Amino acid sequence: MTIPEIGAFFLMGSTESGLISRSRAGDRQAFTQLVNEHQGRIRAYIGTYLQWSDLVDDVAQDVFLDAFRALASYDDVSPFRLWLMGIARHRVLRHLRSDGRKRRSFEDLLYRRRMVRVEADEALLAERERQMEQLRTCLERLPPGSAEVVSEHYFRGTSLVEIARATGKKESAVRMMLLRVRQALKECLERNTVEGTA
Amino acid sequence: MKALFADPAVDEIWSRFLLAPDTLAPEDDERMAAAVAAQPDLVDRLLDDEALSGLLRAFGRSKDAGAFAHRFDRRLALEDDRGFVPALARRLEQETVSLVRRLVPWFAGTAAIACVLVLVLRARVSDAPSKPSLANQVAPQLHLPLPTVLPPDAAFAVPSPGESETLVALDLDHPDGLRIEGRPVRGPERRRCLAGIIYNPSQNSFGVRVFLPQEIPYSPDLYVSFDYWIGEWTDPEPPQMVVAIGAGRKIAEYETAAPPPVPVSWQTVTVRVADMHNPFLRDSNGRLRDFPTPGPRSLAIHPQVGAPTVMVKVRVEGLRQDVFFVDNIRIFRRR
Repeated sequence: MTIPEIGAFFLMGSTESGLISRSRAGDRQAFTQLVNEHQGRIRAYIGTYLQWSDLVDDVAQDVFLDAFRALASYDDVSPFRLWLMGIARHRVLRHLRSDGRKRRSFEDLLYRRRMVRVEADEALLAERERQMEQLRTCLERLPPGSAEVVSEHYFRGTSLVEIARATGKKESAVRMMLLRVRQALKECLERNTVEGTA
Repeated sequence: MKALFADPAVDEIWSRFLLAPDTLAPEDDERMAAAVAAQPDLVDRLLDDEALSGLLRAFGRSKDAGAFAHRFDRRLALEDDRGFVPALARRLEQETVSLVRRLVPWFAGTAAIACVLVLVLRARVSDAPSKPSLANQVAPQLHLPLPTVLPPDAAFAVPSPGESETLVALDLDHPDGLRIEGRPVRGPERRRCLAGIIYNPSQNSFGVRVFLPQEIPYSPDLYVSFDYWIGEWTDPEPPQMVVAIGAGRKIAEYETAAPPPVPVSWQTVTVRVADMHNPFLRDSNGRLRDFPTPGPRSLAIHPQVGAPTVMVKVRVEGLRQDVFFVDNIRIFRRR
């Protein structure tokens, strides 16, 4: 399985600061290059709270537009990627708050708790970023069969029905397999978190 | 392996919710609420599960970094233009006023000299034979191929205007105030319309998206119609035109394939929202395969009746050049 990059984790500081300076001077191409480098991380962060791909992309576009307009306020000291994630957190909160539609009890429960979690992220952005990188490592450790089903369903957007048809399995079996893979990934993340904090 | 819920039926509801968050029926919501009430710590575990799914999906999407950055660049250019035009208008207005003040004394004298010169020149050339000029040349005619015949669509009969009730009509001439994706342009036949923007370079996909000025409660008896103009293609297979609505709280997209497009003339297409669904079934070439034969309906997820419909999207896939225009989007229902 080829795991897509979520962003240039080790973009050279001098390169990045050069792009930021040029962007501040109004160089749109320089900023588009920064967008290209950081979009994966920002979309991943937004994706943890907003589920639909198109919505995630719309909010991510707004994040970069906000960032471009607010570049003068970036202090050049804190990591640029965390500054962007901070803007993304604000945008997610704003989206959730503006979502005033009527929800039934379970959905409302999820919604409220989701809000609390995003608000608490203010101090946890670096941790969130670390988890995203860890997930990448965990994905690389998946056995080939599990990796293939993750890649097919989440990366290529193939429905469970289609996967079931292609593999000659029942849809429920594919769903159960995905459930197992998600569980394995969660356990891998927890293990890494414990190792990281030990 | 331990499931999140003790009750497999509730676990099944959660799995479905993760795949399509807007399809939770009231009775399912009640069952989920009851399950969560019995295990208060469960909400966080569910949100972890949801976050993991979202993160995995986002990983997959990050492959199209170039398209995302390109879309951003075009948006930034558009934002710049929006700020630039009013600023330019203000500046022109100021400069025009100051220029007029400075030039008025000179104008009378210059006009008098010009009149004398014209009279002298006319007298000198009045006997010369006339020569062709730009003004008397015939404008070149653009010969466009005749449109091919749209195959008869036996899938459904489109209600006539008398039989239908229009809920939304967007002529897109001046889409100010509308949230749109697409470039407002003067398109073919000088019609004001939206030009498609690139959605997915790998699929050669261009399209437009328009958020409705008001929400329309979803109902399967709705129709979406629009006019389109598409350039010619060289591939043996025609591009595929896909129509989608965005419905529900999280704006899930439900889509269907439109009839094969007809090139280089304005055409009108009507599709039934009842044919739009999620997930999208595609063949090995990535083409939606529901038209003209409907797909397996038992597997299709439709929006809930009454779910707010907030967006219409039209795109073509497999078109190698940026020549796709959309106009006159209308949502209506049979009376």
